[in-house]
Amino acid sequence: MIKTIVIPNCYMDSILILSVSREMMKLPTVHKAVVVMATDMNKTVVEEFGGMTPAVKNAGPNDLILSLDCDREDVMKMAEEKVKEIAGGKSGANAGEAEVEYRKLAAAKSATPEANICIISLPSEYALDEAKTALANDMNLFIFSDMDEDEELEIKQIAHEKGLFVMGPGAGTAVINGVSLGLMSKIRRGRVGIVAASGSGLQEVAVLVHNMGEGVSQAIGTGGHDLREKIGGIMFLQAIDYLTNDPETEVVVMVSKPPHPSVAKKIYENLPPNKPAVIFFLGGNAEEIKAAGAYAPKTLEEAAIMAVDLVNGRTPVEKDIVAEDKAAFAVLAAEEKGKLAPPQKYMRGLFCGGTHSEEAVTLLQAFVPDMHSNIAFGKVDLLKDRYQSLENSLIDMGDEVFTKGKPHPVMDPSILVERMIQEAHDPEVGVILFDLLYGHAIHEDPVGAIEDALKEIKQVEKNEGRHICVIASLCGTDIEPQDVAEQAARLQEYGVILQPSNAKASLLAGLIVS
Amino acid sequence: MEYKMFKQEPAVINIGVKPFADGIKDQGGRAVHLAWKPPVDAKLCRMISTMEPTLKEKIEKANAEAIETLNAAEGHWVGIEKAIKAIPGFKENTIMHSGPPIDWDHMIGVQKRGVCYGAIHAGLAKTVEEADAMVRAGEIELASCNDKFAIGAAAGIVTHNMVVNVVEDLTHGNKAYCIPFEGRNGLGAWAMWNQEIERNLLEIEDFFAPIVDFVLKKYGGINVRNILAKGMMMGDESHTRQAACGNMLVSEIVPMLLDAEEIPVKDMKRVVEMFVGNERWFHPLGMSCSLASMRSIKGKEYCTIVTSIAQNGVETGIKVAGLGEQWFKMAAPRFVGTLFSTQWSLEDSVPYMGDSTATETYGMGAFSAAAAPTVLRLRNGGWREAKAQSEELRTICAGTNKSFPIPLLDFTGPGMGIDIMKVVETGITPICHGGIVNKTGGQIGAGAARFGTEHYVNAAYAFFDKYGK
Repeated sequence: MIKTIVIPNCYMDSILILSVSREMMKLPTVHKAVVVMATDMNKTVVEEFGGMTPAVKNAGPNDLILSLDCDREDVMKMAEEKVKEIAGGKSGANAGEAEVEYRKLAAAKSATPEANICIISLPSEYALDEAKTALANDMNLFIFSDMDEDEELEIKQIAHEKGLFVMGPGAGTAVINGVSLGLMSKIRRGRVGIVAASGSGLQEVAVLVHNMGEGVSQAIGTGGHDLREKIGGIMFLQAIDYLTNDPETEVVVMVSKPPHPSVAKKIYENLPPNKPAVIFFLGGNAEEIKAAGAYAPKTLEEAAIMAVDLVNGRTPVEKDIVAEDKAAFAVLAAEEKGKLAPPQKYMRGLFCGGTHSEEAVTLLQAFVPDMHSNIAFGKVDLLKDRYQSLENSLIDMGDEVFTKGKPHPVMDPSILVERMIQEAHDPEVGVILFDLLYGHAIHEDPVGAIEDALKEIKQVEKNEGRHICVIASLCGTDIEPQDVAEQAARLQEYGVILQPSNAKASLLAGLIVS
Repeated sequence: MEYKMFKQEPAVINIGVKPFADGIKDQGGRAVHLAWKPPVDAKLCRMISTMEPTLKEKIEKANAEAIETLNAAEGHWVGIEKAIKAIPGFKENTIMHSGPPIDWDHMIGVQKRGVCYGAIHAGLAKTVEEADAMVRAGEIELASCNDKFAIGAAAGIVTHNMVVNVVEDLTHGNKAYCIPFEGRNGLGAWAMWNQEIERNLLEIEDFFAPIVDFVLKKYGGINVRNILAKGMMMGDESHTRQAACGNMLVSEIVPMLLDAEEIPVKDMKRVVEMFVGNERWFHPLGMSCSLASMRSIKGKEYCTIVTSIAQNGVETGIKVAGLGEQWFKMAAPRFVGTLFSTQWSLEDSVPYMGDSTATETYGMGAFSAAAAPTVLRLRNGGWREAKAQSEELRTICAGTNKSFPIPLLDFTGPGMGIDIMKVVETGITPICHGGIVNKTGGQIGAGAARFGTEHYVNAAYAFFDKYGK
């Protein structure tokens, strides 16, 4: 039906009024809208639209005609309020995002002076120039791109002088004032501060903290190279400095691969004097950490548990969490092992998260024999052909060999499909392990992205009459854009065994083949 | 040390992978995604950055002189005459169209219909079919408006018996031409034709034009550049918006009409009525003033400034001062903007059609966005976006239009003189404001389009071919 009202004495410029009809279309059940000033010419438009009324006939050029083709009576009231709001110069037509395009950072910054973080994910050769421009404009940086160390040092020194943060190069995740940056999960705000030189490490800890009912104050990613000798932990130390003085933060969790000794020393010397610190240096020296006065968890999961204990006033208990987990898995592992045929001696881990693969290596190298990987980390043999797994293999699918011209597997795990099918067809494979990550810039349906592989695994099981044990961990919270519970349910329909953390999933997989 | 990052809600500028910006927005945060492009053409950029110092000097000198020449240009509205009389080389069987020249088979449907209707209006053909056959047989000659120093408004249909406004740059003696604005419906611009449109057109041609031409000549014309300059202070960027300029024009022409005792009162009343009833009467004058002014640097050796930008709904074309009247072309861009009515979508529109982009070559329109934040409302923007757009476009200009101080730019003028080398080097291409035209004819909205780089690259290579030896 067509409803028309006249709003007297509500002059709007001919251009301004155009944006009003767009706003009208956003109201419920509105199919078409005519919004014009009541000039003689415009009245003919209203007449053609079918909105002519006596009030329209009598209206003058300072009166506004609002004619809507809509299904609901009450829409007119909403429409009138909206028009008055726009005429009053409030939000209104401008509430939408400006569709103005900028080619250069300086132009975008001048239109949005409040912009304080620049995210850069350009090919490496272009990243440096843009990063410098951002710093010159007093913006903090989140750099997803890789850069060489000289460049990284240069920009971090500039930033440090100005009190700005450079997250990255190679940063994947961060949470600043409750807003998740990059490929980060949505996390509730809370009392745990995180500083991490590892994208998926930061995410795993934050997700587990969230899933235990707590939250994160800030999670600052520094990029994986920050703790090397050359960079000297500039941003890691700066983040510790901030979190130390941040009243919202009650415990500081630090995550990284082992830093260069000189950098580790600086970190130990700069631990917060006023709040506890939990340090997870993947495969690093726990005694050193304890000696410095910090807690030294053995897994990312334990780091989260300790942090949650600490913010709740509980002292973390000294225990061997790995041994405990292994003991708890004994029955399940034996049961799964019993389903495998004698040649199925090996496991294959396909990881989206880089730190997830490294954590798996760290945990499994102690008790799983014949381990291979495409990453030079820990005590495993480097695969000669990265496309061909051997015996027990842990593959970082984010390896640039695999991602050339494709999105990183965290963003779109479909890169796993082919490899997963390849592993399933290998008669020596008994266990396939993988991880999926969730968050804002991530694939809307990660399970859907790898579903072809899951179907193929079922088919292989059927055709070849053998069981393949599939284990996964989902790094996500209950407030992600994706419905993680639904994702989990779908995986379970394929018989996938889910674990709440990467550490547990890896340990279970390792136990089955050891 | 105090770290400001945590003192506010994160507001992001994203360069690279777009989902990072979307992710922030999904969380209710503010994020601007930069339309970043890699360097346009590595070889060409290297040629520019390693240019012979002597060549570089010559270009800089030529461009500086060109900007001075342009700033001295002063367009005046001096007449309104039949096209065949006003435009040199215009023949009875000529029909002009907007944009670069294009052959009949590639011309967009709406413009073709405009040509055919034009043939009927010009008495060359009786039916659309006959007109089509005459064009194919070469009995009707098509011409690009821009090649004859005319502005093709939208479809840009000009026939021998249509009238054109004549604007002359009195400093340099160059003229440019554009048909008057017929209204929301019309033949010349909107390629629509019916009895009502024909009646209106005949009134303009046979009644209005002779009277207005008479007073313009009697009283020495009207200074268009001055009106444009004042408009810049009053919210007009003079491409999409000329609300202030339109009123100033009326206040200049009406006293002339009142003073001319030769004109019967009844006729004078009707002419004034026509002026007042159409706020875009001024638009063709602003466009013609731009092109007449740009003529002063056409053919200038070593000058890398764009003198023409024109579109026919299929291709966009540019001309460069140092390369004379040679066209460099690529596919016409599409619009972002707002439609007049919710019955249409952008699917109904044709790519950019019309030569109104002459205004941008002269520093108006998109380059003067800061003068008219209202126009940015078409793209949901406000004064910040308007200012930022002007500032970004300034970076590809050889100089400033000193006649047009803009309050929001601290009373400096807009960038003027698009430098092809700067476009190639920065990857920033011109944005042009403009009207959105329906596939079936008529204007259905207004907005802006960002142009491509391909023709700028070709022009720059051609420039090096000519001057780089």
